[in-house]
Amino acid sequence: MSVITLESVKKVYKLGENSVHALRGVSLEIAAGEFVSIIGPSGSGKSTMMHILGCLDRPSEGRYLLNGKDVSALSRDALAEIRNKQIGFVFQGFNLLPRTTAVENVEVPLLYSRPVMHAHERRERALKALAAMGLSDRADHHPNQLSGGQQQRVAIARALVNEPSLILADEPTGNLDTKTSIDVMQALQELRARRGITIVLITHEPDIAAFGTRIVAVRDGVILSDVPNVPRGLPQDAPVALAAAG
Amino acid sequence: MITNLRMAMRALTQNRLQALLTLLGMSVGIAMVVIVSGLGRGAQLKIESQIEAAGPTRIAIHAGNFTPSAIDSGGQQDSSGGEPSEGAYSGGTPGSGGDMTAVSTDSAAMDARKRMRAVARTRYRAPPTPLGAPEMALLRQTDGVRAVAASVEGNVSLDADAGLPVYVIRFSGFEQSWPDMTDWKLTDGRWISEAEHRASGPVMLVTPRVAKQLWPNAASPIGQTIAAGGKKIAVVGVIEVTGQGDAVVPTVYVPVGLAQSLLHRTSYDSITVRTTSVGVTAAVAKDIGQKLRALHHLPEDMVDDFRAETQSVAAMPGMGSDPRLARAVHSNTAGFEQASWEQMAKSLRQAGRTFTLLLAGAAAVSLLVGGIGIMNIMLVSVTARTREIGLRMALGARAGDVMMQFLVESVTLAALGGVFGLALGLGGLLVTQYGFHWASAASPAMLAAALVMAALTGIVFGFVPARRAAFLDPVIALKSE
Repeated sequence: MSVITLESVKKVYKLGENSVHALRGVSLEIAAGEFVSIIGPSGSGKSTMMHILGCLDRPSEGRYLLNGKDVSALSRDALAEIRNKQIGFVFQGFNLLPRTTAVENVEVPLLYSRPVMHAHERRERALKALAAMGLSDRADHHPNQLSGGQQQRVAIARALVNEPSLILADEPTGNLDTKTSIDVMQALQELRARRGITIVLITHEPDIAAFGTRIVAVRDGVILSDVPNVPRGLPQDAPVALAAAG
Repeated sequence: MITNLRMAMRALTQNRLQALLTLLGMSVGIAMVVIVSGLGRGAQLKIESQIEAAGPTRIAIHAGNFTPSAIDSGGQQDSSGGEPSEGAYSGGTPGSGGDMTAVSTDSAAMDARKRMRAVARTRYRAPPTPLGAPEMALLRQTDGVRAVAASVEGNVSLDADAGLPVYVIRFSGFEQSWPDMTDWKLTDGRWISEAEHRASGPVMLVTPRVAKQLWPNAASPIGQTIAAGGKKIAVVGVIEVTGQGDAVVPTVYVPVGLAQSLLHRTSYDSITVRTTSVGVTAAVAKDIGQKLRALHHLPEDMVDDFRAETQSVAAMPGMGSDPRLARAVHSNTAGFEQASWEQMAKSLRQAGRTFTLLLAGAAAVSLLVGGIGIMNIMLVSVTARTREIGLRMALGARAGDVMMQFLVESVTLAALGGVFGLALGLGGLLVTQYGFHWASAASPAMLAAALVMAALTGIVFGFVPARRAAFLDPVIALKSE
């Protein structure tokens, strides 16, 4: 079954007199377990696409089915619940809360889960997610005490903590050096390989996009190309490599 | 909830100075509320107690009725109508017995009396019914009565071997509820206990003057005894009694039952009633009159066989002054005094309320200022944390979650300010009380109300910022720096 189905999705922003056509009819289908890289220059509409895929925004026209359910016309709160349960976000700027420990950062999505979760259960699950990213010993560190790569892996742990079916990574390596970028990308590949999580990556760097199993190029609000890809750098001994990357 | 609180505390500690200043503003508001309500309540209580002290909340009921019926308040209204001055100087109405000796031969007065006769009903006197247990029971059940105290008083010859410089002592029997009704002040020893009152125990209270008179050489009268009626009665306390004249016979104060047994009496001289407030005194006095008449089976044409006097009537000059003058003053004021006291009490209360309202207005303004401070810091906080809000929304926070987070923050801020303000306000009250000697009274309920008010201010003024945060567009919020 496909996780994501976009049916000629359009998005128009009204800026005073002018309207900006960010998406001009995009149709896309992503199956479970795919690692899709969406690549395009700035202004190509890839960010708008990511917002719609992430249920942060609604299409002006067309339909968006997530796990078979039409989410294009849901209420704010219903979308919030879908983001909470079904989607894990990894942002460019890590977006960790400052002055908040790693484990507390990972707990944030659980705060908004319904039914309400007990504090000790939240803590337990957050620690498990951190352990999965090889960060058990950094649980009580604040973001400013962590390296960029560690911060991004805390962010990935946070995206994973509610066991979503889809991870949306928006320029996850934007602030990282090449080596760390590769580590983070390998961590994502590992997730897909081990847990079968669908990953959608938004980037403007071709060598980062190359980590996906499929590359979708976007320009001026339409899909230019959509080709399968042999992912680069799939690690043989990923868990060890990850733990060592710290 | 706890997580929300923790988040709020963390957020507040992030910009400590701002939070502190806002808190200070809030504290001033709450301190104002505390001070104002404390002072207001103090003033109110003071007014009440002053009215209470001066105003007629006491009704004294005596057996027998030797006053001319024109003077008792009920009769006066019947007879003098709209022209009190005529009734006032006219002396008694028919049937007023011994008072008839005061008849003037002045023709104008005769004339006036004739007119009086035409109006007044013929009324007869019944012999006085002694006041006893039935009257006590009736008075206790009357609405508007707070306390009832019977008293009996009389001279008793001391036993032969008493060894005191006097041979006769006046025993004044009182009930336990009596000291509350007067301004008796205990200066030494203790009051007569409830058990002693009930058992008519051989104990008594004396005034310092009487103590000096009876035991000129003793350092303290406590423990001294008087032998009377075969009993040794011991002094347990010394009291100050105002208004006690320089009676020739020294007076001591004993349980009413003891006085009754020493005097070989079963009835009381008088029963004093304390009403619940100045405002009801007149009505209660009237009610008591009717009930006692019914109890004593007095038919319509009989005058009361008792006197029910409010304090100011009782305070009117009686013995020694010209009876006509006394009566004149009496009848002119008897009905009037109650009305005017109630009026005065009412207007004083009104004034007190106005004062409180005025101060409350000032307090409300300072609370408003504090609230605006909170709104300001919360708006700044929402703007500064737009990205965090966007992130929380992306991670699944609903509008309600975000709203709650910011409301908890503003309420925490306001409540902290409230606690601080309470301390400040209580300090202020102490200063006004001991520094300026203003009456003040702080009640726990009031303090709780001040805290609730602080929290409410937090909710009211935190609402707009919280709403703004809750309805941010997640996409735009996430993009903000």
